[in-house]
Amino acid sequence: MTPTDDSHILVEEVSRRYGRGRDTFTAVRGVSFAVAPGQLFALLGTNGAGKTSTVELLEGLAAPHRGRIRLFGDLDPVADRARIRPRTGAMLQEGGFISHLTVRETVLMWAELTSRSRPVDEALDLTGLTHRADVLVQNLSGGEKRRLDLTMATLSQPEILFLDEPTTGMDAEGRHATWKLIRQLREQGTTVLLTTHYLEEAETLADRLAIMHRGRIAVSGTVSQIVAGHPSTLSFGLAADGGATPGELPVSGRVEQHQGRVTIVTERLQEDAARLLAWATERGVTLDRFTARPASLEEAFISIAHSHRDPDEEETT
Amino acid sequence: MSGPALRQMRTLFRVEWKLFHRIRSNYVFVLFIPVLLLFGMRFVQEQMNLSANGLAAGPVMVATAVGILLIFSLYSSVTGLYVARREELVLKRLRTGEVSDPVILAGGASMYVAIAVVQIVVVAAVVSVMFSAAPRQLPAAVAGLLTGVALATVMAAATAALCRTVESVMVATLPAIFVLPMISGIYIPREVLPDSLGDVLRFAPLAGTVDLIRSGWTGELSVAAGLARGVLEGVWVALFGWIAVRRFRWEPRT
Repeated sequence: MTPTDDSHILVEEVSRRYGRGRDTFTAVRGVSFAVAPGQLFALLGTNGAGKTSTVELLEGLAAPHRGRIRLFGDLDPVADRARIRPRTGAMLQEGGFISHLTVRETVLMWAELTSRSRPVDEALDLTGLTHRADVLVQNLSGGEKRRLDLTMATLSQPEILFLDEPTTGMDAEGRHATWKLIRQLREQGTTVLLTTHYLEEAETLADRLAIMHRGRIAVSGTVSQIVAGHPSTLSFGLAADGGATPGELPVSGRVEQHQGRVTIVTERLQEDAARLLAWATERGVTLDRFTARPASLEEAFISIAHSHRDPDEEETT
Repeated sequence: MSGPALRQMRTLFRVEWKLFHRIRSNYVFVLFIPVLLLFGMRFVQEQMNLSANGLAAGPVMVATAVGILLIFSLYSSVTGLYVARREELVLKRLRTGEVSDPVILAGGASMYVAIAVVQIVVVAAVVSVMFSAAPRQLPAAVAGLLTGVALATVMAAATAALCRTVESVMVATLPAIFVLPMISGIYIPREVLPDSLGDVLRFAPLAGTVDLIRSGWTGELSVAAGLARGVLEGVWVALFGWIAVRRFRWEPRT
């Protein structure tokens, strides 16, 4: 998508620096992307990639060193804070709670500080915290604290929701419940910007995503677009006494054999799979536990993490 | 202040009020400092020959008590509060919401301001009775209280800006706790000091507040002199406010 003024979130060539002089560290370096209303955009990356630094700029917690950010078309996150805040919700990467308050007191406090807040009991129910309402925040597990954070972020039914690693520390049940809630909000028209290092999360939820690496966006697009440039794999077992050898397989991809299992890394998955199956049928060869798998986000992610070395990295870190 | 801002202030006040009561040892803090102060002042009053310097014990003791409460009860508590809330990332989280920065700071501090004002009023009343000294210029006393509360609070924000951790609050507040009462007329009335030193120290932070409070019981300041003290405190509030605005950090250093 081309960045336009119709975007709910528009980020243009944004950089963020920490420190001064010799201690300067550039965490975000010329990042650009746009998110349309009602879209879910995921920022993926390893630890230290610059995801949180970017989200904090969008949340208006800091001003960019360089570049321009606009929310809702024409609002600046720092200068127009008072106009933006009633329309946004934010989940920080961690903490932000008073440990001696109970869950209910914490949500009640946030509700009183928020215009158009949904009722506290409804909010607690939505994130599955009703049974923990009277527990002190300091006694919550890591996953429960994330749920509390999500409760507060979604109290006002925001138009833009910033979620910084929303499911870190959650068990599988909590993670799926959170995904369900995020999907519900999106269906109601909320624009969501989510950071995560769980690839499955991005793959499951995001309309579009960007993979950040060392402060830059290495690649962005839909999951299909991102994985398109990465090879797929065919995998099967080939019996040693079956009369067939890996060398005679009719495929275009690279053939590898390890402990009786053959893996074909190919950029033409459909053609190679069809040819291989036809060949096996014709020769009467059994392809044990045959699988054909398109490139996953994980492969794209790992490949990016290993391949993108920045020429000016030494200067900036 | 707008309606939403007032509502937010009330919420933040109520939260701090609840937390204050949740930690029982805070009651000791509320009662201990004033009681210790009253006992200590009885002793000091006997040691100091105030009348030789033309000073009445009652007004001096009221001004001293107010100064000590502003520093020990208000300034040090609010500094600790700001740093603790920053370390817990509460300030950062509040900034993601609808509350403005000044309301975040004022809302949390308002509970400690209320406690300090109650302590000050009670101690001033008890000292007045102890020394048979009745207020003569109430507007001056009120102006002293207002300038003192404003200065102690912005000084707390400026000090919190310099603290890295909750542990460093102790060290960062030392200058205000030890030096300020010495130079602003809280421990030692300026009249007791050599004239040249007294003239310089008249401009110290809180010195104007101390003068205004004392004048509340003696009526010694003219309107012009009272206004001058008020302006002086206003300058200090602006200076510490400027430091706080420039240097205040809303989240822990990484």
